[in-house]
Amino acid sequence: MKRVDFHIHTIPVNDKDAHFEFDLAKFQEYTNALSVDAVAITNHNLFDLEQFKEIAKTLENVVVFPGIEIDFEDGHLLLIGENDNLDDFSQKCESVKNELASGNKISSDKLKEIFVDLGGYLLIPHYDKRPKVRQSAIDSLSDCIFAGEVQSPKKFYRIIKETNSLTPVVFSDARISVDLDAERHQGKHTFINTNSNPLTLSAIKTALRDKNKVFLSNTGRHGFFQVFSDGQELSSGLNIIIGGRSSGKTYFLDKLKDIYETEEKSIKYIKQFDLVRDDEKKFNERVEKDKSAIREEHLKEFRKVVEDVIEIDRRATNHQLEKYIETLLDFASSEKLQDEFSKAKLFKETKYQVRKTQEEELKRLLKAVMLLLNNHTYKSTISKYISDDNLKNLSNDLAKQYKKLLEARLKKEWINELVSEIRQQLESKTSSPKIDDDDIDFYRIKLERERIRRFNAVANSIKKETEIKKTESFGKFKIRAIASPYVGAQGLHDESGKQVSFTNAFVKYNLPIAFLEELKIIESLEKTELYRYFCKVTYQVLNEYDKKVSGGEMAEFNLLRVLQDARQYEMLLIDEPESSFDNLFLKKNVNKEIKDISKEMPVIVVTHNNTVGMLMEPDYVLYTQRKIVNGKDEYRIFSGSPGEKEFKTANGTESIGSYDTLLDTLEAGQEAYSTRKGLYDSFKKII
Amino acid sequence: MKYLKIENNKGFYWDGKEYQEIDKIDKNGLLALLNAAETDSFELDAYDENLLGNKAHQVIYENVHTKFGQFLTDKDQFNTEVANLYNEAIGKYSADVQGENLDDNDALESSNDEEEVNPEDIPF
Repeated sequence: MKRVDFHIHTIPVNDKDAHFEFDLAKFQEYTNALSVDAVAITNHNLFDLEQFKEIAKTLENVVVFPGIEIDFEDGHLLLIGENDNLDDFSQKCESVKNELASGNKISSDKLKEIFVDLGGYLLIPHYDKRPKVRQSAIDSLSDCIFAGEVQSPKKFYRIIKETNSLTPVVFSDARISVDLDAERHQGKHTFINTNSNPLTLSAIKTALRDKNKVFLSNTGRHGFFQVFSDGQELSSGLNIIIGGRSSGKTYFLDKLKDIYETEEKSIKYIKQFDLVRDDEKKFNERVEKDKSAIREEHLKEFRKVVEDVIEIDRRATNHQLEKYIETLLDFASSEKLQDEFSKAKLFKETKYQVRKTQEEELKRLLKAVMLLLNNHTYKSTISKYISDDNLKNLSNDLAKQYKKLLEARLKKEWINELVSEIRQQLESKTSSPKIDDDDIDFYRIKLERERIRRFNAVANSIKKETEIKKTESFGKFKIRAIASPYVGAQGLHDESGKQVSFTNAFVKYNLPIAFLEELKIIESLEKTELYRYFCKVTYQVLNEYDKKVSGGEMAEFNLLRVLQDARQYEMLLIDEPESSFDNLFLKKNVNKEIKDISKEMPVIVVTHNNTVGMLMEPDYVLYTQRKIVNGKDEYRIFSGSPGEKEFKTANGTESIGSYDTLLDTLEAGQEAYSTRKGLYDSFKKII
Repeated sequence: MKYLKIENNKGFYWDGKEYQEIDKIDKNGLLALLNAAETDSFELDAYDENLLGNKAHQVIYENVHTKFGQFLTDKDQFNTEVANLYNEAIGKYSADVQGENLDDNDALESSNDEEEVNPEDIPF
């Protein structure tokens, strides 16, 4: 079995890496400490021949391959070459660098142009790792790509099971710097089953074409991954860690977090007592934040209404109306003063109202008909009901009507312009007042009022106290979302989370349009968020008896919530869940959930508790032990699968009996176990 | 019913309660006419210069009549447009559109109108 790390950086590249100082001695330390057999130097878009030669000359017991990590399509691609024609490889990498420097992108064709025979290289795209290479780009090079880099053991085991997927590989993506901590990269390598000696690129390529020859652990066991350099493995499913106090269990979890927390959402770590610290207010805030999607879903339609109504300026419309009336009355009362200019019919001619609503409707219809006409996929189904001729006739008819409307509108616009010009000229020659009716469109005003009326109705309706989401079950809990009106300005203030006063606005809370106008005045409020201030949404978490949850139940609810969230992560670590919860809850609600999660990703649970430890049916058991040898603390980990007689250390040199270990740790020993059983039996007899 | 009518050489409009002479029309009068404009009962006497003795009535009646005439031409389109307005929201929240009127808002709006500024109060 060969351990390979084909993704290593030795030169920081400005926009890709934080600065680091390369250290060759650290590189040797790294490969020694982690027993790496082969590495590839893969800097971003460059290959430094001189540095490579120095590394290859210095590193002992490691095969070093030249490589480059290329910005390829939208993702990154590792391209690794044999180490026999370095000058040629260096020149080709130079071309990549120059192409990118001149603003060109590296596409599949460009890659073929530069490297000519891609089959001579090992190409590994970011497959389930950011930034990903698109599947279509991978397909375009399908002859030469058979392995893809993934981010975690979870992704490795998911992809390796898929039938048409690439062979997944995991690499460290390490920066070899002066302050490199090799330990943080243990567990991020791929093991390849090959007998090639010396190790060649073509042997590695042959192995990578076969998913059965690629592993995450030195033992070559599927379903396991190696986490520590001593060979310690974990199951890709459910692991439990047991052991006495201060035997290193929590340390083990912390260490895993260090290694695998490479980016956000990598590790979900539920620490001991983490979930019992909430007071009621904090608990409610958490639930509210979590469940905000319910509110958004409930207010989705109202939000659209607000977005439309917010554009209405009632004050401006009222002013227009007033001005219109004023000038109309003014003009009428000065009838006697009128001269030949103001008496002209066109002086008080009103403009045509131009509306595009019908035109737009026709346009949409026409588009829909064209869609039917031009669709190839469902041609036969469409033709079964509507003939092509009918569709063409319909489209012609609609087009004619559209043309007619368009013509009429253009004529009206032309006349309006003319009337406007003539009116202006007449107005300039007379002392008679003019009628200011240019912007008055009763259709628009009436529609505006109707929009307001309907908005008011909707806004008044949403604040009625209602259960907006029927109880949503969550383990043994139920969540109820309730909409209700705000009862004071303070509620609005809390909702905004800003230092602004809502006193003036709240006075008009019962007149939605006026309230909205007041909210619009408050500068620090986002216009797109104003819909939130019309009704309050609160959540109630109820227990199985439909009663409000107690403090302990809040913690239970929190645990279930966190477990649900955990599915988005790459690995789940839980430290002594039993310290906050009772056994019945753990057995009934938590065990199954954890077991289910472990089917998707590695889960590691530290426990002292037999309900958690054994009833969850773990895939792998680890026992941590602290021993004082020659006055010094020594820590050991024994591990094994259920059913195995012995638990062994990673190097296999020491072992302990599994049965006794489990009984000692989880049941306080054989004697206590038997006594307890006897006591239970005696109670059973009484019943 | 007739919302704009000509009678005894004068133009009248219906203000929601009774007929008023057309030269008394103001913003609220127009709103009252607008509120009724989409209903089937909204009828207007055609403008006829000869039937209106008062010149002022002629001007006002003609202008207002033209404006409402334009609205009535597009009434069907208006009703279609309104029928679809915010339907998703109205359905989802069971909003009572019929029970909603704009009187409260209008009242609030008028009470909020800025007071007229007397030019003599301006200190420059």
